[in-house]
Amino acid sequence: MTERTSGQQPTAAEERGDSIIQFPASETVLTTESLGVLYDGTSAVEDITLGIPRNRVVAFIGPSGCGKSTLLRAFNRMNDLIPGARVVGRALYHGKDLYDPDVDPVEVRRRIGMVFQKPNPFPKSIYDNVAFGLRINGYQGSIEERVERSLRAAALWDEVKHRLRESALGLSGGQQQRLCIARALAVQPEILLMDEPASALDPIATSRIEDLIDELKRDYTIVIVTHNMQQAARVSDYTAFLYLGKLIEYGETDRLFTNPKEERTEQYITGRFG
Amino acid sequence: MSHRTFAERLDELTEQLHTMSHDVETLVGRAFALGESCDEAAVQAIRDGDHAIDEAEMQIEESTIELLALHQPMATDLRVLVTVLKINNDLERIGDHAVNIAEAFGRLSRRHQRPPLPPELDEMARVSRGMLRDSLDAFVAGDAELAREVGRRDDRVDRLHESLVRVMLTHMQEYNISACLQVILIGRNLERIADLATNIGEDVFYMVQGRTIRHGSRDAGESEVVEERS
Repeated sequence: MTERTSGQQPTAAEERGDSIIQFPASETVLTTESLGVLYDGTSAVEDITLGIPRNRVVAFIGPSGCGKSTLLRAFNRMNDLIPGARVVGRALYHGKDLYDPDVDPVEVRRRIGMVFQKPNPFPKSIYDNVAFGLRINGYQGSIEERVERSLRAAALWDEVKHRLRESALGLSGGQQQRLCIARALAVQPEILLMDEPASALDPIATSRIEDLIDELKRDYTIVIVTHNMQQAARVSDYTAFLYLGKLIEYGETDRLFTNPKEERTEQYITGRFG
Repeated sequence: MSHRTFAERLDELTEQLHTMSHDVETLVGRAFALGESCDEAAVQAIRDGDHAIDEAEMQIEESTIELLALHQPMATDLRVLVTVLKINNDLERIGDHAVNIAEAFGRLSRRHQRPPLPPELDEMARVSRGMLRDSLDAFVAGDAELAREVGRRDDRVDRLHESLVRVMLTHMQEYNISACLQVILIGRNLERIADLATNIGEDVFYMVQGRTIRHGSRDAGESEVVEERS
């Protein structure tokens, strides 16, 4: 289970100065302060201090094992489910630490939704997949209306409106992933976390997901983990580069991909690591 | 294609551009050296040199686009490739200006009543060719300071050009107007070469530093009354 301690020393990020972009508190929905995650005492990510700006897309990039998915999961307490995981530092959502003892992780995950690498629809109908979160949350309004709105927001409505009662497993991979996005949107989160959402999809389905991300940022804040740097460059406003569990650089995507400030970022994005 | 191959191909590409830049520099020097008593064969030799540069330009452009499409490079690699594309285009244009200079000398040579060539013309050639050489050296060496310094000489070429035009307008009262226009045209082409060398310097600065030092669009100049390739 998780526990936390707060760090008092100047962070590595603060020492690096302008390689890590700073946002005014009024613009961020989520802020980490010296956040770290340990698995059985071994640090997976450490000393991460960054802000996630509202209605923007932030991409996490870095080599395999750099801790980007671990960091993403820390944003909605998904690491709670991993035995031996421990979180240190703070993850503030509108100023409230997500890891405070009085915070309900289920409520955290309602406000901070997640979409995974592999589409994982429930073996239920398309309709029931989207309605699922509403039902378990005891939603009192019109479920039908919310299902339609969510499917429209996920750019899937026109393709499934005549077969809502059919099994979600009959959809294509790209459609299944958009269904999972619709399912996440149905409970009206503020932040959407996406862990390699298009890595299992073909280029056309990937393109639709990327277009969707661009549309969704009007209403949501999105954090995406991707191995595909071109995808990060296409969809995100800001990019964070992690290496060996540390935040190396975080800045505007346009700038980071054309003129990175840190040598390690340059080496990674030009493929010269190792 | 492996990354090693990408690095090798990038090296090959910059080497090709280096060779092309040397050829362009030489062509400009040869065109200006024709002087006011050259024959058509000498002018044709400059045109032939320009054709070879056009061929090289197309090859470099094709290779650059291929590398961009296949590798989608980022950071320094991206800046180098974008700069190669831009310099490649500028060098091709400079080759055209060399031909313009040679053809203007050719037309001048056919005139019996020729004005004296003002010293501004030699000085413009010296400064603009120096700018071209330094901008290309800056590219090869990745020298941002040298690249930035090139642009500082552009004003001097502009002032020399203005002075040249004034002198030639005065000569028009005494000498053949078309002959005087050829001299103005040679000066104008040298002025454009200096502008393009400045562009190359600015592009090299971007390539090295990742930020731009451009000062906005340059005056495109007045349309010419005599034949000139663009």
